[in-house]
Amino acid sequence: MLVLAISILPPCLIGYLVVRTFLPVYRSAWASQLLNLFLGAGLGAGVLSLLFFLVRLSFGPSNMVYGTAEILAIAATAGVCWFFRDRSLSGTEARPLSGWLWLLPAATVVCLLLAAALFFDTSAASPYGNWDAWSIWNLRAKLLAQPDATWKNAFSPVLNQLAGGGAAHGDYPLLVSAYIARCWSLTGSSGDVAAPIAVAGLFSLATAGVLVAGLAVLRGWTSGLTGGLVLLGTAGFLQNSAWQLADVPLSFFYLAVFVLLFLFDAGRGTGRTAVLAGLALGCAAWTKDEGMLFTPLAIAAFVAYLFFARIGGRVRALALFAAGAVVPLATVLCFKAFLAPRGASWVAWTPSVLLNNIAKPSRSLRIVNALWEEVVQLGTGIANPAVCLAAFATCLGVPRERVRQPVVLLSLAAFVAVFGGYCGMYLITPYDLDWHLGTSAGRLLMQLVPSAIFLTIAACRAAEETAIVTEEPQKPARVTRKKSKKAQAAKPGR
Amino acid sequence: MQNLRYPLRTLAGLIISALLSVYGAMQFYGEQREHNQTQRDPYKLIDQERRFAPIREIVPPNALVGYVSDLATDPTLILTAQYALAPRLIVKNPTSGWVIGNFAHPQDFEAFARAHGLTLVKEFPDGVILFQRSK
Repeated sequence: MLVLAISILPPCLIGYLVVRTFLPVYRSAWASQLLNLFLGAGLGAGVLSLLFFLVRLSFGPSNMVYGTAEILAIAATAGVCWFFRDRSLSGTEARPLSGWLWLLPAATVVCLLLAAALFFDTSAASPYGNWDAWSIWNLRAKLLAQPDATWKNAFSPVLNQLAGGGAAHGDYPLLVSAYIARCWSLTGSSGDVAAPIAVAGLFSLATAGVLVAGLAVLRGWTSGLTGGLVLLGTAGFLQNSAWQLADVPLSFFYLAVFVLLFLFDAGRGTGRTAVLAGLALGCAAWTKDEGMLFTPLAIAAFVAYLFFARIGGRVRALALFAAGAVVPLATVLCFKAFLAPRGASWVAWTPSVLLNNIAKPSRSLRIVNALWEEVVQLGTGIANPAVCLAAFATCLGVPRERVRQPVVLLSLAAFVAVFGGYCGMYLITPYDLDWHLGTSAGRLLMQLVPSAIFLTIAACRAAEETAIVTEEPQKPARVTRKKSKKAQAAKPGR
Repeated sequence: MQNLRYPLRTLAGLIISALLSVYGAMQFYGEQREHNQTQRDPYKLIDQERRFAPIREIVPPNALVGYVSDLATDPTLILTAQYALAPRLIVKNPTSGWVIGNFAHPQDFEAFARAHGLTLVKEFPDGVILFQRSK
């Protein structure tokens, strides 16, 4: 219980306070609170992971120092939130669900219960998670959690040449490992499977929560619940959730960046939402190398958005975005430049190998085939997120004016560029292509699924936008009738 | 009072995506439950943690240890041993004298040690042997 409490409560608390400080209050109160909670849970884990790493680096592996730093950070955030939180009211009131649409939350609850049951069952069957979980992320968490100087073994060059056993990638970013190490270090239970399972659960739930709440704030409950349903019906997401890998956390940060960009746009660039977008972007880079590919593309999309969108305070918005991103990005850049060992993946990467790989058309065909198979594998038969989204988009349609909105166009461009970047990495990989595709393509696609669901549903018409408003004829109340009879009886001349 | 009436097309879009999602979740739930029942702890990490626990009592946490085995160089075996032994790191050329033996078949470990320039320190159950590199 202590491990669970230490793993889940502090990030939710500090994250909630951070999000509440920088996001306005949305008129749809429930959606607003859910967004604060779920966005806060993931961002809070990112913030505490950074804090843990920076405190270790600055003051060494002392639990006393770290514990004090965490308490001070929570207290400072609470103070800032109390005095300086964004008190403005934004958005429109979400229409309550009516009639048959009440089946949507019921279906969402069914899917959520199935997902939770499956998560616990898979975690009980494989408590150490999948291959990369124990061989990379949790192994490095075990090293980071050491109470002596050996904690620096987490980025030892030795990890990339483990006695012929392959690489444990000491050069990979540390968000997940550092956060799990924080939990183990504070509870003195290094290696206990409860912490990584709790962290996996936290990020999975937060991803689904941000998708539902973000869409609910932007497009209404029908869109939000449909988004949540499609994600919870995605076999690839359900499977990855319990694997304790860094792909679900990365998908959370990608999604958070897109949701926050849309919220920033909805607020016409006013407010402080850009700080959170920057923070989520930095956390993506601190989670996985793919996040470092996402970073420049998302920054370019944001800068282009500021250029094309007709909003005021562009410089202020850019400064706020940079303020949110500066600490995680500086940390990951310093880590890569000064601490991380030379990546195992770069060993065989010479220009001749690269050019040779690009020049082979058969490789492109194999990549396309493998990615198509992985898209099919994301679902179970026809119950595939791509089919669900296609049906949704066909039936509800995409309004022409929305396609022209800079935030929609540039978010889609960033998304497509990240996907293109993934394809490009496969094209030039120095590893055996089939092995590389077989071991990673499914997970890479999974990283993009929540964002793909969000972007598709956010670009489509909301059900409420297609609805026809009818006036219900008002029946006079009984009391009124009695009164009117009396009034009529009292009328002179009757 | 205002009521919302949704066009058939909108309802169809919502119903199709919702039904497919619920069906997908239920279908995958069944498949994965079956898979979980047959594939419990697929990398045998629970066993590895138990097998290498006595080594953790003896070898200091900051040690860089060597690794020998009668099995072919299998990344799964080495990395699961590494996970169980962490924070001790398994390296090719260890600086300390400790060498961990991970054996699948019983044999004369004294003879194995002599043949590889090692000294047998202790034999543990389940094929786990602690050696030291001979000076």
